[in-house]
Amino acid sequence: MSQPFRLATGGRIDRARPIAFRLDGRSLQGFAGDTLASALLANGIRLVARSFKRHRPRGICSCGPEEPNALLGVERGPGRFDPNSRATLVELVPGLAATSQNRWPSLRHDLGAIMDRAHAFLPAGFYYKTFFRPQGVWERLFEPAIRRMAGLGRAPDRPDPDRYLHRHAHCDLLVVGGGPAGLFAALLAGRAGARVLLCDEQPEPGGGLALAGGRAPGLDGGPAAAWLARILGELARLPEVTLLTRTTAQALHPSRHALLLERVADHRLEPDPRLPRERLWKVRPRAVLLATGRIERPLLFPDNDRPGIFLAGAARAYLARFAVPVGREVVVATTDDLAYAAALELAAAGVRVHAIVDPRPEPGPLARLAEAAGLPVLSGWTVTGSDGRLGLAAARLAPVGPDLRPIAARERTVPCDALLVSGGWTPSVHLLAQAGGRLAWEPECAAFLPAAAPERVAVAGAAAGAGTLAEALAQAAGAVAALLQELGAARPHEPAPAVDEPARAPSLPPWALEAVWRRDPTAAFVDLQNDVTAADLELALREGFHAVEHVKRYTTVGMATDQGKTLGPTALALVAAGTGRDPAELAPTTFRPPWTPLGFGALAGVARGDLFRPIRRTPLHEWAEARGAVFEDVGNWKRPTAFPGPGESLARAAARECRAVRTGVGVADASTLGKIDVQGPDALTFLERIYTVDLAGLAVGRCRYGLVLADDGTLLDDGVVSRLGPCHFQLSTTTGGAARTHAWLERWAQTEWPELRVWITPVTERWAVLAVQGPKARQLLRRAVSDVDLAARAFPHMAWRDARVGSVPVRLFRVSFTGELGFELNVPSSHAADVAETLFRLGPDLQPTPYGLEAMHVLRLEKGYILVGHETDGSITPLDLGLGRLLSTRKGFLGRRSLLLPEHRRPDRPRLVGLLPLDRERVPPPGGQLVADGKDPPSGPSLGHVTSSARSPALDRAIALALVRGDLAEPGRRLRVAAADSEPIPVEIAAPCFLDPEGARLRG
Amino acid sequence: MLLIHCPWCGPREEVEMQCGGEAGAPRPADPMLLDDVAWTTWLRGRRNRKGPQVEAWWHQAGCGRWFLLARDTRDDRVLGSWPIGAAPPPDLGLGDER
Amino acid sequence: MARTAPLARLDRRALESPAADPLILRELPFRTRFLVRGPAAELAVAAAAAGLALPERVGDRTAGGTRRALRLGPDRLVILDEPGSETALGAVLEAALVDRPAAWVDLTEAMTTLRLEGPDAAARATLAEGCPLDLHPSAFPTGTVAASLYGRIPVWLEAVEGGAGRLVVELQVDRSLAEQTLRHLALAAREHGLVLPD
Repeated sequence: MSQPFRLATGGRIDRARPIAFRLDGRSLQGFAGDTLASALLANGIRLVARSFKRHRPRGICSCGPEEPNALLGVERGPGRFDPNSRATLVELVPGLAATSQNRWPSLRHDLGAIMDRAHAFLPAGFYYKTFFRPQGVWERLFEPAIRRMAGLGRAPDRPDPDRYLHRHAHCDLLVVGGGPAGLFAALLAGRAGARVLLCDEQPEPGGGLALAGGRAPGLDGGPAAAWLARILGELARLPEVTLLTRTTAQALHPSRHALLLERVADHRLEPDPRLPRERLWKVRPRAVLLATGRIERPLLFPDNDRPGIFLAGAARAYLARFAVPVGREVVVATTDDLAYAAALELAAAGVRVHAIVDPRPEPGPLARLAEAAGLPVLSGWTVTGSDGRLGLAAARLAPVGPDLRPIAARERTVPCDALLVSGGWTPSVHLLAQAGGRLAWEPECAAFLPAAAPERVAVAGAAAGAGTLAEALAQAAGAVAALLQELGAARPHEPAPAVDEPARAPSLPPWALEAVWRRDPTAAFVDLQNDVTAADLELALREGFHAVEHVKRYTTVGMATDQGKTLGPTALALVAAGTGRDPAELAPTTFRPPWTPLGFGALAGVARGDLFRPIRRTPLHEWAEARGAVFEDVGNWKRPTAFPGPGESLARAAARECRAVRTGVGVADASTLGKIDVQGPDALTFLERIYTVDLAGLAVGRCRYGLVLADDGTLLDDGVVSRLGPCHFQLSTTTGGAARTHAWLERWAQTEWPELRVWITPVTERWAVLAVQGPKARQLLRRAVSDVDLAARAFPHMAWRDARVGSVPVRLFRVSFTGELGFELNVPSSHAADVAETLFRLGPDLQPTPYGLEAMHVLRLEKGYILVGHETDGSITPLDLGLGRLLSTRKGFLGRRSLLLPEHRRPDRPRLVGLLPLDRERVPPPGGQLVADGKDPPSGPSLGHVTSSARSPALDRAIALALVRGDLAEPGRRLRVAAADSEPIPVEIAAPCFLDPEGARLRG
Repeated sequence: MLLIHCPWCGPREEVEMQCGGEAGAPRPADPMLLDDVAWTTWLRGRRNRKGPQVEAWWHQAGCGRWFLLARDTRDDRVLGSWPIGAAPPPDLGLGDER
Repeated sequence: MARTAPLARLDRRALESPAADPLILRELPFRTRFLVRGPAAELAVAAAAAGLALPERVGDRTAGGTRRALRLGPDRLVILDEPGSETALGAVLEAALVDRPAAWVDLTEAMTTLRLEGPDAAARATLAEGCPLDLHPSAFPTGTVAASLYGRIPVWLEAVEGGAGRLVVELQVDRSLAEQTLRHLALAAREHGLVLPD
């Protein structure tokens, strides 16, 4: 039998479906329905990890999300690797390969274990005290060494082949937790007709009820399992109730925004490639009921971390769900009644229970039942230590005096292979705290309980401190009724079922047994995952860290991936005791989402690869592709950089394209430039306030270039305003400024000037734009375009006309960003490719040349036309750019007042200039800093920076634009541009227009 | 993630919205009449109030309307929202914040 | 002259996934599409000119003949018609709204239509993978429209027709963003089965 710890019967695993898996290369077998943890335990494997800092042997200790020790690397196939997976939540599938972490060369022979002996030299704050000097050594030496010795698993090194989705969901009531309280609440709400979403982290709902065995409470006069089956059956029949298993509520944000992570695929024995691996649910419930249950507390004693020490409730769960007794020779150490049920159930399964120690003189009735069953109950005793090498070999037990001090003289060592511990329970209030609820210390439970909840959020059951199932169900019924009433829904009147359960005596919190852990505080762990001991806490307190948040950061207690779910309250109580305070005076450390670790894939959803962001292609994309375009990203758009011929470099192609525009005709795709339609009786009034230039005199059919300023005077965007009708305008914006400018217009129109009757609509995508530029542009267009007179007199620069290309209505704008005679042909998008090809078909003798962004950039630079985002950076005003002529003095416009501020009038404001490098071939890098002329290496303050630069084919030399301190900006002055990897580049300041300053070519 | 009640579309996710920040005093009718201090105070001055604050929001991906919204800056609670030009709902605890 | 649909270049086969009763996703290009802006009274004038009643509330829709009117905002009405009707509908709106305080824009070429149809629950689940609205049949019944998002892409959503466990929804989306939306829809629909007819 390959699974020595598996019982022949019982459990909810499928013995007919054995599943092969591996741990560190070793072949093992479990059954369908197992978790990795239960399968390892079934195989008798206890040692599964080495601890974070001291490399102590560690084993599985829990059965749920709180697991601090059993973190494994889990591989489910190529690329499907997750480090730091909690074995307690990993469901077994064929071929699963687990690897232990933080050990070398192996788990059993870990050389790092020497760290345990060195622990005296590795107290809390060790890094802070030791590695702060000499400078630089930390990064080079200490950090890499420490990272090798301490830490978690390795990150995956291959792309994740899986898919992840995000689902939005809405419901009346979200119930978190599928234990009895949650199920009962969902049932009541569902019966009342509410839309209910219930999520539970485990593969099967039922919570603690499903994980308890023969000693589970009775319900409705029958066994718990029958009640559960009945409830689940009815829930399945309610059409508006959705039950999500394997779904973890990771976050509950203020305003009831819940994030649930559903594990869709990992557990499937037969993979379905259509399914996503995980789905992140973004839920907007109208009300939330948190029935998140509770987490059992381990006891605090020296060597409380050995493999083989289990939470008593976990031992019950392994037996009930997986038919795996966690040991054969068992000792139970508890301060709470429910551990007696564990002992009874294990004993009934044939496990030998050597002792049940409980320091409480009067445990509850379950203890009586254990005694009656012949189990050795030792009231007034406790566990004082453990023995073993790679796992538990014996427990040390001793009686305690009335002061709870162990009586050393009577200590006994009891050989055993499992020690079940229980120090009571901590209500899981994490989500409530995340959502902004308030917690208060409740001495009865020795825990923080919900004290105030946000609107329409309630807590019920063990999470609210219910000590019995009857109380939990009553709370659930009450909470649902109240929530539904708040929602205005029918209030359900349903009595809670009768519960048959033993009474419970108060439990004793683990920290009450101070004298026990004081026997060796350096081995009494208050954080198993981060290797923090009671001694570390004491040291922190001695060194003056008294606030809980400070102690947490100094010692790292509660900062591991388990976030201190099991021992956190114990650590807090120790801090309180060590500073002479009551825990009620302290607040727990802040609970932040997520509740448990989740992978990046789930967070990213579909936003990866091609869908990381939208890839926007213009209607001319295929046309440009066919013409050999090489594309680059501009925002989300793909735009042609250049159209290189065979064997031609991009630079040579761009230069050829520039020459074509200056001497013949070039055709470019300018579709991405923003286009905004503005209409309404008050459209002119509105645009006059927005643009710096006068628009009142703009006739229908004419265009004007203008600037849009922020109200602080800085340049937001520039573009051409075209008057389509008396009350109708089209604006052009930069590619990157399209959305920004639209938002800007809407904001002013709606918030500040709602009395203006003006409507603004982005129409960028309605038109594809073909820029046809160059001295032969008119000649080319004459052949293609009809219904328009293209003669200069009839169609001057900065005008627009309706026209046709064949049967296609187009809008023709005579505008130029090249300095040449130029037109921009606005074509309905779906006709764009056809119209572009028409131009080329009709003008082979004119040799129309497609040109790309690089040529556009050079052509406009030769003319000194600014490009928003190059010559501007959010701090630059039109005055800085020498564009004062575009500032109307006739009207008020946004930004005008600010330009009068002294700050904008300082003589040393940046000033746009041209730069001519003395060496005609050296192109100063954009962003290069300007420094004073001279022979010395560049030093001193920056005098400005290069904003754009290129080699100009028209001038046959390097040129640049720069922003220079205004008081130094006179033409002829020599400066240098500091270059990162070469000698500084000497330059001479020139006017910021290198070609045809009179604009004769433009008006031709 | 806030749930924002658009006066026209009802409760919608924050991702559909753009926050325009604190709703301040109206823009002076003729800024040229203001001295530098008065102008820059209007331009840059924000109350950044702890507690209920009136903000302008744009339902960009929805109906396209700007509206006003009261939010408690201490806990992000959305207290109410109303169209620009309309009176805020009573009892939002806005005090003189209008 | 020939027209090119925004998603003509897409390899549809690669996005499909098998199922007995799959969802069907197709692009309906060139649909005539006008956005009318203005006060409700002016929107009513525009709707009447198009032979439609004004949908009274934001989120409502009216239909008549080949045309539909979607009320996407208090001052926002979209009028849809069959492909090729933009000249006729434009003339109607021009005549109705000339010299009135309102605006209209032909967005026929600016956007395209994605049509998703199939089993009601699967269609709604697929939409919910990207759209933050409450799409429960009680909250988003047939005839409901909304401007919202799919993923991060703005879309106009319309529950076009339904009943007997089936649903037809349409998304109007900017042409350059339609490919992202379609790919996202296809990922979301994969588990329900999906075909993309040519």
